[in-house]
Amino acid sequence: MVHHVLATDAPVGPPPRNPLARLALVSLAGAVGSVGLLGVAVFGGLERADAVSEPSAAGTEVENSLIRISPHEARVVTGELGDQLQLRADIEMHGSERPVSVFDAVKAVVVNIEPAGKRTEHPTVLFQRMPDGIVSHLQPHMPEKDAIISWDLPDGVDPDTIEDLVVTVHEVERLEARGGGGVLWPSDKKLAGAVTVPLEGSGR
Amino acid sequence: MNRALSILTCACLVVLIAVLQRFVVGKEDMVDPITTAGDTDAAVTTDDFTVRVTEVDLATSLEAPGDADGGTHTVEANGAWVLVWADVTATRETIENLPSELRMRDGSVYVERGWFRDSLDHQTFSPGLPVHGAFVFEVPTDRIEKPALVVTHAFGYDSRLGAQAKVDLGLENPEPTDRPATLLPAELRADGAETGEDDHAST
Repeated sequence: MVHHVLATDAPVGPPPRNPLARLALVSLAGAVGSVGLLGVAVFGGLERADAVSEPSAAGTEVENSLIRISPHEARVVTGELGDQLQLRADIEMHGSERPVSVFDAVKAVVVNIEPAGKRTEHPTVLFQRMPDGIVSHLQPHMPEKDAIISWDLPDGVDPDTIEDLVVTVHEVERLEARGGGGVLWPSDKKLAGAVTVPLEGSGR
Repeated sequence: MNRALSILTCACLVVLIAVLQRFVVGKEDMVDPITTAGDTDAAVTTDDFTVRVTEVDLATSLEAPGDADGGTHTVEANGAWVLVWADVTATRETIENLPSELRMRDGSVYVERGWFRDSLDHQTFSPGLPVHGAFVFEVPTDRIEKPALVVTHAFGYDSRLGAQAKVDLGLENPEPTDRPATLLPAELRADGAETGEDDHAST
């Protein structure tokens, strides 16, 4: 035989049952929340998500979820392709068990030219031990000493006026494309870190 | 009696469903390349090509033919160079793009660096003409664990549903030598010549 539950037995919501007690509980929670918020505001508020207080010194390692990079030397090199910014850095791809194309892996590394304030992206990468071969992919678990990362100098920047390169590394996200389309690594605005590398004058 | 029978039927159906579920191909895997697995003892034959691994060299540096002057240059590895010597024969159409990768047991994957024009990666394979040469990989020494060579015919640079060979290289505890490995240009092999001496092993 089936036992019917009486309507009055049905729970009417989370305890406590007493309406006054409920009111007291809600008010108390609200008060605690307000005091907490006030406290955060008094002590300077929340830090912006993308705030990197100060760029670190050259040689510091910066890491996002795909690569680790420690830029240690920058210069301007004049070659057949015109002026190029050249950065020497140790680099390792740690976020994927499969090779990731250099285009994707280094997309999140943006160089700011100071004091001109210009930015440049999408570098080519060479390794010191094989200066004739463009590196097409970063492969897993292979930290590389002395990678040479080169950017075209943006139009209108006089190489003689450059003092520093601020190398910023953004966070990246792993996205799997549907239907065997591979993996994408879009970068976002959130900064993983920044390093200031003074420009050396001896490259030309 | 009737009740026992229906319970039994239900149990059987549940088991059957569970078994059949195992055969469902995931959406992501539906267009994966079609893989034929084998090892170094015999040729591995796919729909589009055959690959027979003849030898594997491991070394910390590599001597490769230079660009134009005919000399050689030596490239140090960040770890070890793995040269997988193989005979590759296209079966029915010319293969222009045959990307290869080295898969370790732990799931890490290495592709060719693309620095050497003489590696098998850069060759064109005409039907019926065996090409002998080496696939060249660079891997960290401590990651070399039961590597398998995976070669895929990516027609039009698209490997979806492409013919793929997976060759277990059978390396247990390989130690790279400090003597440079020598990369010789890939060459056409006339029929029957492949049983001869290993001309690259003498270096």
